[in-house]
Amino acid sequence: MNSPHEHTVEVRVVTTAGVFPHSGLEHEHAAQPVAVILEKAKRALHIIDTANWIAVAGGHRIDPSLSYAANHLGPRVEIDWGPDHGAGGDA
Amino acid sequence: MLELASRALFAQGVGALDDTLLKMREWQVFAKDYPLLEVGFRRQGTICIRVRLRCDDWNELPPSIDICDAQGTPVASMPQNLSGILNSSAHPQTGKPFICMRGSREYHTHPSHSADAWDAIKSNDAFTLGGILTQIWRAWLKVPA
Repeated sequence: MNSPHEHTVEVRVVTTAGVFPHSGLEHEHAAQPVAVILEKAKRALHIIDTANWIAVAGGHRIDPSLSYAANHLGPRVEIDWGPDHGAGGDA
Repeated sequence: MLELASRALFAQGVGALDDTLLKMREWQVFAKDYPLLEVGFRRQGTICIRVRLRCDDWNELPPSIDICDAQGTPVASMPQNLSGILNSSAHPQTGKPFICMRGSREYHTHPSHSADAWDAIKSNDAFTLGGILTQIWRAWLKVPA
């Protein structure tokens, strides 16, 4: 029988507006889309516009619309969330 | 903008760059006294470049940005393949290579981009001090080691 902990991940979201949660880690279901915790972080850190932001974990860009499991993440995850690289202006 | 307000906004932006973020990204803060914010980017534990933001009149104006070597000296030639944001030609006002990216003072004062107003984007979360640094850092990560 599987332990309930096998179905959860411990997560922290790191941004230049702050870290969510401020201390410790959030416990999320492994089958839940990563986007759910990003939305929580967005509200908690008073971030308004995340268009063109990317999420990176373990050195790899992840797809927030997919679950932790589908992104091959766990059991402890630190997500670096912020704007993608700037585009050149061709001046 | 009053200098007092500019200083307060600068302190807020710098204060948000907490130790968790700096450790995760391997950033090192070399200067954070208004109006200068200077952050080094490491690769394999070694500082490779420093990005110096001169933030006078922040955020009425975007920061003026210098790319410096590991010792803090502005570089004469820019690393290539930085997602096109490094322009090695002389900026009409500074005469130096410059960061040609929204959020850089040199971009917004360049005649080619005078229609792309800083005022229109300065409230966007991608253009906080940390957001601008993030955009440059992610571009730098694409430079071959």
